[in-house]
Amino acid sequence: MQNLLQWLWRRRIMFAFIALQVVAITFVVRANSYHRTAVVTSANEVTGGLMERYSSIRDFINLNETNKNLAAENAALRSALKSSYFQIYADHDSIIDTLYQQQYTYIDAEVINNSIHKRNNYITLNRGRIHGLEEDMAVINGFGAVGVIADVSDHYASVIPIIHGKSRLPGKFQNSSFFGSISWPSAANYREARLSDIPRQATIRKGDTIVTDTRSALYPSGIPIGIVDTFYIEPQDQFYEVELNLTVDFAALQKVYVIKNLLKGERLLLESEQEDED
Amino acid sequence: MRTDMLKWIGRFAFLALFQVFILNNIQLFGYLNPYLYVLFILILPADTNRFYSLLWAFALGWTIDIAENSGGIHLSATLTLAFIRPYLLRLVSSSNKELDRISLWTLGPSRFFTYVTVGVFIHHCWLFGLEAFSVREVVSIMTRTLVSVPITLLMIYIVQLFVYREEA
Repeated sequence: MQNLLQWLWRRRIMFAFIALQVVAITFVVRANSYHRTAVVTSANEVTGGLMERYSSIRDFINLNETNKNLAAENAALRSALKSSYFQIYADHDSIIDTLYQQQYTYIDAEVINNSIHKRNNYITLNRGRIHGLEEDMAVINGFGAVGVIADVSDHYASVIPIIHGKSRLPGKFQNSSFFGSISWPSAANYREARLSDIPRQATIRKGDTIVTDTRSALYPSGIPIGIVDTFYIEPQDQFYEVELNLTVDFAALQKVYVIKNLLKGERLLLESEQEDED
Repeated sequence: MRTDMLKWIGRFAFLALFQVFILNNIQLFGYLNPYLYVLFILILPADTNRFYSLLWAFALGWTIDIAENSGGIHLSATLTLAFIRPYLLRLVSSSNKELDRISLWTLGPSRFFTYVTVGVFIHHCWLFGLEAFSVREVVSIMTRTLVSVPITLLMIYIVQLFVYREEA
């Protein structure tokens, strides 16, 4: 007994190390499960506040570029407005629109921290629960799809962008209805991604645009994700591997929009009922 | 003793802030991740209580993890480095007496760099391994490690040249 206690005591540092290491590995495992109960995240108030201050300095330096992008986006939006269309059909009744119900609303947000050179990158936004953000909302900017909200605190949120090792995003061709899954392989840099599961019979050309698909339940359809760069298929395979250039420049990310799908709950409920029956 | 403690807290704060606000924002090439903050663990005096150095490592790793949203990978890698450090020191020096101050100037370049290179390599390997969290990405893990280790070493060298010279 005495000997056993002595033996344990001599290895006390080893045991302390193992105990602390178990804590660390628990954090890592939790962060790697998709619905994270994250203990360690920058969506908390202390680091969020620090990063916001730091980001305001960076924002000021980038004002010129941001203005240019916002102006371009405004121009695109203006040209899509009703008022910029010539009315061909003259019908002047004021009506309550029963044909269209709003499905998506947008919340503007600012990127206060992001990384691009890790295997698993993250983005922190200066919007949180009090602004109406929830987990699993889509994030876009003027150029295209950015990612999905992972964690939300009262004032901040963290986003899993497309350039995260665990990111999976359905995408389809703008000019045909073939769809596949977009992931970020380990060899890709932050301007690239891979589209897989495109069947052999699809016609692909370099320069084709890949857009979001309503199969994801998070994004409205038609938001650009990437442009086809190269594609290849092994003779024995049934599916193409397509390399994309992402439309969003994650190194110059500043203003983004968070999308709330007002009908998501209804759809997921319906789809889960289907699964229960199977 | 008290001023000593304050000095180490100051170094801790400086390296952590420098890592989070400067180095994490340097974005060159796809694979470049310099992690200068490990210098803090490497230069703790050799006679530091091993339990205290684990606690320092825990605090430092956790700070970096919170700022980077990286789960617990820095925490785990820094703990490992702190744990194996005494064995690395035994590798380059037989007596602990000369090691109450570890720097390029007290150890000399060849012994200092053997010690630092092995330490940084183990830390980065562990870190990128946990980050990928998958055995299939061995090539990517090794590339990241081999590219980042020299950059971290270069930064440690620069810091040694400019910051610790007077102390030696």
